[in-house]
Amino acid sequence: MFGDGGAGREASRARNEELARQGRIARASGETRQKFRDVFSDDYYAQELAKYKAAYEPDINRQHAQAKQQMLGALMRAGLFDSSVAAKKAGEAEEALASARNEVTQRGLQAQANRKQDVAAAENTVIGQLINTADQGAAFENAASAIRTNSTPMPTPMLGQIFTDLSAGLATQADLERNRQNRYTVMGRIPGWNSGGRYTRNVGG
Amino acid sequence: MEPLTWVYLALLAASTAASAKSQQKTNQARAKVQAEDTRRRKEQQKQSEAAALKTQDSYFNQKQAAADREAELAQQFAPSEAPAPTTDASGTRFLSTDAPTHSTATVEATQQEMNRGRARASQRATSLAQLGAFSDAMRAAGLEAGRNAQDIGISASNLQGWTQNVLPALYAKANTAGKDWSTAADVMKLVAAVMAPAALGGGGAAAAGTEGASAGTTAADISAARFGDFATQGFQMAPSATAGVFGSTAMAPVNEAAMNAWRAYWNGLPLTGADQTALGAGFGQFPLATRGF
Repeated sequence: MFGDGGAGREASRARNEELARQGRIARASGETRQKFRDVFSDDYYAQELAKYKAAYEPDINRQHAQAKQQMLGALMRAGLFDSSVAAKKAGEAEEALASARNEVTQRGLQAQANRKQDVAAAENTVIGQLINTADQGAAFENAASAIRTNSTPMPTPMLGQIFTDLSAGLATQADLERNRQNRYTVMGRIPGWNSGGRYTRNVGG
Repeated sequence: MEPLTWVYLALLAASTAASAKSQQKTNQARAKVQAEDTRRRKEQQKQSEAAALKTQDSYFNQKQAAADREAELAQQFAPSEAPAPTTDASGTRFLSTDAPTHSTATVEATQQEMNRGRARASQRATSLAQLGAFSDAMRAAGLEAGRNAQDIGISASNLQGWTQNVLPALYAKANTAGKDWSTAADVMKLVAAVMAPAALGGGGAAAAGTEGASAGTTAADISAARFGDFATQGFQMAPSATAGVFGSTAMAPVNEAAMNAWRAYWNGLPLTGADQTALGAGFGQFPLATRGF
C-alpha cells in the first residue's frame, strides 16, 4: 500500500551482486585452474624430466667413457685384459653407468616434485586471492605471473666426478697375480695358527 | 447497541484480523528466506563434504595410484642397453669406448658380467621405484587435497557472502511483507478510535441512565456510592460539589468553584471561606496534616 521503503530493491540488488561475485569467482577459478593445467600438464612434467636427464647425459657418457678407457688401460697394463677380472670390471662399469643414470633420474624426479609443489602453491595463492577479491583481472594476471615464474628451466647443478673407482685396486691385483700371491690366508690370520696351506683366492671366476 | 457501535466493533475485529494477516505474511516471507538460507547451507555442506571425501579417497585408495606410479618410475629408472663387447676384426682399440677384441670365452664372460651388472642395476631401479612410488602417490594426494581445499574455500566464501551481503537484505524485505495488511489494520484502528466516543459514549450514558432509573437512585446516591467513605474520612463533601468536580454520570458541567477549591486543597494552600463553602461545610476545619497528609 505504501511500499516497502526500498527493502525489496535493496534485497534484489544485494542478491544480484552476490550472485555476480560468486559467478566471477567460479569462472575465474575454473579458468585459472585450466591455465595451470594446460601449462603444467603431465606431458610437460614428462618432457621436463626427459630434458633434465638429457642435460646430464653427455657429461655422464663422457665421464663413463674416460673411466672405462682408464679401466681398459689399467687392465692391459696389468696383463688382465683377457681375464675374469676384466669381465667383472666390464659388468661393474655397466652397473656404475646405470647407477649414475639412476642418480640423475632421482634428482630429476625430485626437481619435478619440487616444481609440482611450487606450481600447486602458486595456484593456491592465486585462487585464495581470487576468493577474497573476486577480481578476475587480478587473478589472471597473478596466474600468468606464477606460470611464468614456474616455467623457468629446472636447475641442473654439475655432477662432479662420478666414475672414480672403475679401475680401483687393479694395480695391486695385477702385482699379486703376477707374483701368484693373489691369495690370503684364512686360518693363518689367527695368532699362533700358521698352517701354511690354507688359502682362498681373492679373485672370482 | 447502536449501529455505530456495531460498526466500531466490526472495525476493531477487521483491524485485528488484518494485524494477524500481516503477521502471517511476514512470517511466511521470513520462513521463505530461512528456507533458502538452509538450502544454501546444506549445499555448502554437501560441497565441502564431497571435496573432503575426494581428499580422503586420494589419501586412502593408494594401492592403484602407487602401483601406477611404480610402473612409471620403473620405466624412468630402466637401464639403457649398452653395446655388447665385440669380436669384430677391427682389432684392439685402446682409445675406443667399446671393448677391444677378446677371445670368445672372454667375450662370453664379459657379456655375462655385463648382464649381471644390468640385473643389479635393474634390481636397484625396481627398489627405487618401489621406494618412490608410495611417497609420490602421497605427494599427489597432497596436491589433490590442496585443490579440494580451494573448492571448500570457494564454497565457504559463497555462503559467507550470502550470509553477510544478501541475507540481511532479504530479511529486511521479508519483514515488510505484511506491511500492507498492517497499514490497513492501523487505518481501521484509527477510524475506530475516531468514532469511539460517538460509538461508545451514547451507549454508556444510556446504560448508566437506565441503570440509575431502574435502581431509583439520584446523582447524590451515585456520588455517595462512589465517594461514600468521604463522610467517615471527615470530608463531608456536598453532593453538589462532588457532582461538580467529578462529573455526574450525565456528564454535568464541572463546578469551577469546587474544582479551584480542590486544587487549592491538594496544593496545601489556605482555603478561603468560598473554597470551604464550595467543598462543603466543615471541610477546612482540619488541616492536611491531621488528615494523614
